[in-house]
Amino acid sequence: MGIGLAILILGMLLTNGAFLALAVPPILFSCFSAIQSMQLRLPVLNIERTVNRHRMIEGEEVKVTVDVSSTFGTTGRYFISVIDTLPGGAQLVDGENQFLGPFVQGQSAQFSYRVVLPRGKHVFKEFVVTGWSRWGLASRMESVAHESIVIAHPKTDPVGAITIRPRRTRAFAGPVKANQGGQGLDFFGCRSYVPGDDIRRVNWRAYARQDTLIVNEYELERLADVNVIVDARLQAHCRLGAETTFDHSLRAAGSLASHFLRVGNIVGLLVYGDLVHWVFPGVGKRQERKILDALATSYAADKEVFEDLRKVPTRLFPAQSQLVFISPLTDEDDVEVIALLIDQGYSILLVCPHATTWEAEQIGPTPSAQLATRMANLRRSLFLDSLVRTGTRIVNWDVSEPLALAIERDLGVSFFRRHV
Amino acid sequence: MKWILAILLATAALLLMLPALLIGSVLYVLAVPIFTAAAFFVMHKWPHSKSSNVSLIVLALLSVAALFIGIHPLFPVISLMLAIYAWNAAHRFGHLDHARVEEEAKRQFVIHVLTFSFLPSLAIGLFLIAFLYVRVSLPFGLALGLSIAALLSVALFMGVVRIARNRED
Repeated sequence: MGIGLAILILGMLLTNGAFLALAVPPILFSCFSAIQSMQLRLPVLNIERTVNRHRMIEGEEVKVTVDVSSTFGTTGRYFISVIDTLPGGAQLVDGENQFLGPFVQGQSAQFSYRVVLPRGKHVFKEFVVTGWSRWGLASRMESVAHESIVIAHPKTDPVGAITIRPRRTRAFAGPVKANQGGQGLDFFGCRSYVPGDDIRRVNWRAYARQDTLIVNEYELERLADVNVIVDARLQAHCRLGAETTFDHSLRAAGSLASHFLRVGNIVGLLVYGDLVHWVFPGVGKRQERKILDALATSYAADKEVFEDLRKVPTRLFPAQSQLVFISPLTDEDDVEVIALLIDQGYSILLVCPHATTWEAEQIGPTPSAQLATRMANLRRSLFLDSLVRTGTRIVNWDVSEPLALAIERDLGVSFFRRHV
Repeated sequence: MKWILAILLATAALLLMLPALLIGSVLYVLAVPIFTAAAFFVMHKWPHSKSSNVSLIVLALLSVAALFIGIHPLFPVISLMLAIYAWNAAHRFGHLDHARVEEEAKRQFVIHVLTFSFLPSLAIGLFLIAFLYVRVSLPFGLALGLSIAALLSVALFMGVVRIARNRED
């Protein structure tokens, strides 16, 4: 309309009929469009989205089916488009996420598609419905809100048996050696018989040698508190193409939390970075889902308050319990904080993800790259060696290899067989 | 979709270029394809953007410039009309870029746009222009040509409608 009016005014100023004729097409087009826009009414649509699952593992496909129907409304025939807007990061792999075609009252239509979703909480928010007038000069677009949520958990891999030895355990039977004599499977020691002891536990050979009743003791197996702490400080992680070491850390956290829950421990989660995201400790499948949900929505952040590990809220963790720390360790301060936690009585299993191999491959086999790789490895070795001396158990994990392999290598398979 | 847009804009450009060439306005002849190509690119790539609207304004300015350099008014008028239809068609076809859609549905949509939007509008527009110029002493040959073009457009429209209906049945 603006174009037409401008040409019309120009024609009137110049008193030239040709300009007036030139103004006719845009003005007519605008007028007809305006009239048709006023008359255009979209049909009342019922749109339903069905998602075949609401929880999945990152990188897996989810099938979405959309049903479009119109039970009442205007009786006209429309050409409509219904677009199901995809959440950010979703990749359409199969099918169509748009219906496009003529639509009349009472008609129904269905379309379905498959998307691959990355880790995170994905919200399918709305449908965008567009209808066109019969002569195509006017269109109307509306958004129809319909929310479906799909949570893509980080990919977890089964890890081998991991032995943990926290100083304090719970009173209930569980999988962790409590370092106390009592009922169990593994031999712990001998002591003098006291009335009430089970006669089957009497060590008859010791009795024969010493002429006093001696009973065998077995190591108690108890439930333990395990808290997984994920370092989500942006400065601690590096980018590996489309991913970061933080993504690998979350996968490791998911794998370890699932493992400890499966063997029967009480497991909690703390993501330390932006805010303190804490999942209260618990047991069972439900707790596993809670932890994986929290990991799915976690992100690395750069907050001045949490720039070092000193602010880790140890009050959340039971005294002398087991902590599983997943951190790439940025500097000596981080090493010191972990040593302090050991001093406070916590047992610590440190998983230290790094991407030195990946970075070296990206740079290429130049002498300077080889030197840089060597320096990075030496620096990390220094940190880790100083922690080993404090009693920290360490998994030095190159993210290009499976976590299970790193655990088996660094924690020792013979150790597992002896204690698990 | 791309070719419909290309045909409309190329015809619009030719309608401006050929008379300008006869007049001998070389600068204008050079400017028209450049601006039209740019408009085509913008309308095709970002049909729902403000840049697309700006492209239409640029094409309108080319038509206005044609009047200033002395081209017969008939040519810029039809050229502007074609540019408006191209802009409208690009706007409609742009809805196919937001999501993945079935090929058959896409084809039906293009037929729908052609039969219910572009061709009837073009026919009515040409009739109107013919009428306008007959009333303002249009040369006989030109009026005859316009009328024949309009009739052909209507015939083509009817044919496409019939084909589309047969396919829907």
